Amino acid sequence: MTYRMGAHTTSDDPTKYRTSDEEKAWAGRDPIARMRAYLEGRGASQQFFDDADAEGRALADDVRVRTNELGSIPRAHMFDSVYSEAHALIAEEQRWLDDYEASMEGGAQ
Amino acid sequence: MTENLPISRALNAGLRRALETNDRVLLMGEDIGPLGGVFRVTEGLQKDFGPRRVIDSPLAESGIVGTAIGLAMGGFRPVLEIQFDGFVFPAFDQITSQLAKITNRHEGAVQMPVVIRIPYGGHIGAVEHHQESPEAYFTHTAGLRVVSPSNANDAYWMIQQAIDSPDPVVFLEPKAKYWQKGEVDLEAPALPLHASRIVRRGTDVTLVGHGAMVTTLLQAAALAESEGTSCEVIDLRSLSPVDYGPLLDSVRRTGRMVYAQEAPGFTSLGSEIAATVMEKAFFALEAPVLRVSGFDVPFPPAKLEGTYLPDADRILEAVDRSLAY
Repeated sequence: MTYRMGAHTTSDDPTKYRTSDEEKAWAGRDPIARMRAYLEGRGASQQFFDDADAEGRALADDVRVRTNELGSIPRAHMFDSVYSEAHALIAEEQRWLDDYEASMEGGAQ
Repeated sequence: MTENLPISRALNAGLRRALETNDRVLLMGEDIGPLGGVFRVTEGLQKDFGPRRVIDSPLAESGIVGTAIGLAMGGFRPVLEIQFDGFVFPAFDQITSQLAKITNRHEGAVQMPVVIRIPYGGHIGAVEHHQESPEAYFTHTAGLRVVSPSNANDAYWMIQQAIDSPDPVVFLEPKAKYWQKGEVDLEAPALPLHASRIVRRGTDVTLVGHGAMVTTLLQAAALAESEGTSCEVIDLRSLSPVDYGPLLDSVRRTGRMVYAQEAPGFTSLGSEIAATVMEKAFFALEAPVLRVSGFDVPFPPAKLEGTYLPDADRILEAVDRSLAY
């Protein structure tokens, strides 16, 4: 069983269909918080948690930066892995698109 | 009396009117109750008609359609929401093997007045399963009626006409146009459910499509006009059955037709229409009927949707090819 703590998308509004009491009840079962409590009980230091938090933040920052740096996808990507081996229709459509894009890049002739 | 509404609100108003006028009408779907559906088409309806008529279903499309079949047998008129086009396939067996065939199986003694609303198509930059145009699977299935409104007035009336249909109707909503506004005549429908409609008059080339594509065809027609080509634009509206009358009349005047669709072209609705028009109006044609389609690949990542989806330029390229014959 899993529970989505946040909204599903930027257009989702969980307040329309669930209560804050329900969310609090599930927060109490959060495995990350429970693991933290368990480790604290075993004597893990504050430094350990600070380091883990910093490492997590750095990882998230890195993912965001690298996602934003992703460039455009080559259009060939759309055709490349539909089938494992050559396929006549795909090849024809890819050739057509290459010619079409070349004609558009060349401007009106 | 008219009201200016976006397509999503026009659908909401049409559903409301159906719920008000026929107590056999029920709505079912994922998150359609308090949330109002992910596109808010059913917003406020559960509050006003209660959870026994506007029903939040489990995340189980096969179950939604299967339940609706039983309800229809029991005299109800269920209107189902499939959250996104690509989510309809878990229900494919129930739709094609059961829902579509029951009336025929019972030699007409049992009717299946079920409407399946599906927000379809691309242009929203989403991931796979959220951008597809699955119409051909359903037009290929005998027993199903398939329609798709392109504007608010049709959305308001066609959803009510679909609910009135004694047969199952797959109702494809152009999700990218949910917020496109238009005048809605609240008093009388403009056309029957299965009529196609000329939305722009022209003399040189006939452009045909449905749903969101109609907007793109009108853009292409405006651009073509600036280059001296007069395009007629036909909104198909009904994908099964197809109302060929206006298409054939038009192509007999223009001699040329371009069909545009978001769906992949291979064994598509456009293929069927091209073949039929060529069979029935061969001697009127100056050029073969040309299709502009999505490519025959899975819907690509968001960054490539602009390359995948036919746009006005791709349609004009086909117009030019047609004129060059």
